Amino acid sequence: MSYVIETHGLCQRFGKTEAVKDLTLQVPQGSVFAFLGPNGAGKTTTIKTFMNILEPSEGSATVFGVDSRQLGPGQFSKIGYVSENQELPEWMRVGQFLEFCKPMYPSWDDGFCGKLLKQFNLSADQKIKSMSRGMKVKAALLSSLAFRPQLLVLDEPFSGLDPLVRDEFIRGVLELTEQENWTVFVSSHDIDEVERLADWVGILNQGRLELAEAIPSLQARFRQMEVVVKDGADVPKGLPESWLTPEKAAHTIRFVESRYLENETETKIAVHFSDCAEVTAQPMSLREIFLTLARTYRLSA
Amino acid sequence: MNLAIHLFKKDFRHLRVLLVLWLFLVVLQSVLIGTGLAAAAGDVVLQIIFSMIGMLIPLLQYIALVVIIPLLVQDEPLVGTTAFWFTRPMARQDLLASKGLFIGALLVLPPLLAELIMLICNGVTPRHVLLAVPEVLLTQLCTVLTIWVLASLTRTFARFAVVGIIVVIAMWLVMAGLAIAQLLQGDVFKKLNEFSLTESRGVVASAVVIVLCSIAIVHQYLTRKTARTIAMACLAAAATVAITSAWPVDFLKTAKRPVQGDILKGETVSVAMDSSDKLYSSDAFSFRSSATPKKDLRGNLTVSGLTSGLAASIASIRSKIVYPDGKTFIWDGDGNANLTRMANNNQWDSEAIRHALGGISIVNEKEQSHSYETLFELDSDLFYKYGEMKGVYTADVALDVYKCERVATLRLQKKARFDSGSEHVVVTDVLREPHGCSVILSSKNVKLLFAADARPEMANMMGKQKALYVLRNQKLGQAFVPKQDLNAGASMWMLQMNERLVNMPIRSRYESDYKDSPIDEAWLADADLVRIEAVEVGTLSKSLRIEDFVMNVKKEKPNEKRKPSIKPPASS
Repeated sequence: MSYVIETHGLCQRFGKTEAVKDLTLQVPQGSVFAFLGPNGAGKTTTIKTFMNILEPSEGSATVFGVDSRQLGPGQFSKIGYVSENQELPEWMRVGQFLEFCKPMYPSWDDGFCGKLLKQFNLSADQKIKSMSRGMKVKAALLSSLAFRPQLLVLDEPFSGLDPLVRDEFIRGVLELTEQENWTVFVSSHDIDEVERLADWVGILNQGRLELAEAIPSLQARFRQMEVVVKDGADVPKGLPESWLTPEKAAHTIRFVESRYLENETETKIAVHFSDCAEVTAQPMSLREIFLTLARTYRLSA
Repeated sequence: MNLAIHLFKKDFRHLRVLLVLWLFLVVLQSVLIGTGLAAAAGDVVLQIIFSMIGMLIPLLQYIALVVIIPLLVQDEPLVGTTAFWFTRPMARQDLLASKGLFIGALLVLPPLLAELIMLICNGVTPRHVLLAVPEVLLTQLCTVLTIWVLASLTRTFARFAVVGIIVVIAMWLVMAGLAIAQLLQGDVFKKLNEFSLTESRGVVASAVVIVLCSIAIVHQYLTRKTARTIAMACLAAAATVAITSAWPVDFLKTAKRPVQGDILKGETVSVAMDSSDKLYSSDAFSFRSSATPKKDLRGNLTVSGLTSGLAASIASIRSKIVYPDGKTFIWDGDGNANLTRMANNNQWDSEAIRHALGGISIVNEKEQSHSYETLFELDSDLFYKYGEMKGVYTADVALDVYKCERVATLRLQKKARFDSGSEHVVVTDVLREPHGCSVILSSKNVKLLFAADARPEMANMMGKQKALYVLRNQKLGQAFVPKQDLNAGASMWMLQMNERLVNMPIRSRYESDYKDSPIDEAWLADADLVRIEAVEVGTLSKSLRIEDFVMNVKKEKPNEKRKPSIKPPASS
């Protein structure tokens, strides 16, 4: 498997604050990688570092095998980058902006650009300055998609997008990823949308990467467990580390098994709950997994 | 490079309205300097109006630069993490090239071209036009690069404005602090005497600013390491302050050469105290009320033994008085005495003028005043202690020797003109007056730092004229030297201090109440105007020794007719 983005022991410090700590990450080619984490986790800082907007304090990052510090026009002509905070040249009209971008990209596709313009419901005569935040994100997206990038980096791209455009955008990205083998790296709070889009997920907490895994594998090993106990006993002590956020509700003990293997999990339950009446294991959505992990990290913090 | 051109076009489209305004101001300034003042020659009110507009336009140009450059640079900001261009295939070198091309081609080149065209149109010689190039570039690049550095270190125009104001205030405070320190040390006169050194320091400081700002800009564009660029900018500011106050080499000083060969029989030339005149003492002026009171001792020095047609003015005096009790006083002659001397040196030697005119009689010769040189300065208490005592006064007197040359004769009528190199003089009016006439001349010349023959000098600032226009009646063999209305000329000159082309009105008044040779219509009918120039011959150093020198001599008021232009000191 080849990787489009790789980081090794990446650190980013701002004075005494360590925003990213020893981050080692690999983004496989052709994947849609969802980069999740609570506010202030260091997602945007990580992206800015491997995009050569910031220089790493320690460690290294590569994109297309090139050190992030050396990224130049050759690599950026294959990368589409959209961030919610990106500042566009506001004095331009959308048409002027696209005309300005076009000569920089040898692979610019006028037809595709026109199609996206319609799809995003943008007018070439509109002045960027007078556009809403969502419209500006659309314009930035358009200019980052029209040259059919090999890598699309999206930092909180959905903010301000109306549900219809968001849906169309996700469909479009999925289609292009499949057809043209794009790699998409997307950081977002909108886990539901990312779940539809992503096949890989990375979760960052307080600058540290807690996990990075293919979503099918992640969903295979996470289960919402419910154990009905006869005498309504409390949550026992000494539960396995892989059982996250255990809680009691009447005669039921609930927890999340993070290393689910049907037989092994049942054996462990039998050991810890001798008077177990019923056990159910339910698959979890990415959102549920994320929330469980977020709660666990907060408790451990 | 294609991308650089692409970016250049984008910036041009973005800033086209401001550029039109900027280019209009550039052209307007050149037109005003080149034609406005000349067109208003003879009309003092119009000249003042043009001069005021001429001062306003550079300010507007500066404001235009302060708006255009940040807008240009901050369209692709170099600080922060949110700029659009950071993640676009835009090489930093191309961005730098496009901005450099824009600033060079549209903000530096037009003022240079406009000024050169204006100079050419005003009859400035090709040599002077070429020598104006580095001066214009130095000024323009210094301004533009300083603004560029500040713009490249700030993300928005508002931040640029705030940082700019802070920098200006900080620089002003530092410079004011240094000036105050010099004032407290009493170095004010010394600084004024070092006029060319100040100019030299300005040139070096500008060159250093250009180099350091260029390095800082290139560094910021290629690395975006803002902290290091700020350090470079601070270094440039510190270097500017240091050079402006301490640079020692005065490469713009016009070298004075000693008198050569047989022009003078050096041994025969001597400096002596005029025996027919007396010494005057007065309380010396001081900038500080707390300073020790001092006394000025002045006398009339005469230079004799000069070859016919030559004259000398005193450049400096260093003197010493030795008393029998062994007490010795030394005075180095620096300070306000030099400025007083400069102010007095606008007087021309009548004998040298007469020689240049071929021996013609100068009717109003007696009105020519004498200068009273400061011979010594010392503390008041010492003056009273030693004032009546006899001592030996010795001095080393430096003389500037010059001769007067008749270079042109102009008819006494409007539009009569004199052209020599870059200098052009036109008679704009001849005004009849009850006891004579006034001739208004419009003089146009260049003022260039890098041209030794056109360099501004402190003496010019003090009103010294390079040429004298003598009213002559060849038939009657009579001539009148002018009473020049220096204030009008000097004030106009001051108004144009920032210009390289100087348009200066000269009002020469010829006044006579002599019954045997009045300046009347009949006299003027055969009169013409003779331009006489003082040509430097060289410098000479002479010693003066006065035995039995007594400082506190009782004296009477100097003769009114011989009143020096600086009031003689009151008797003590």
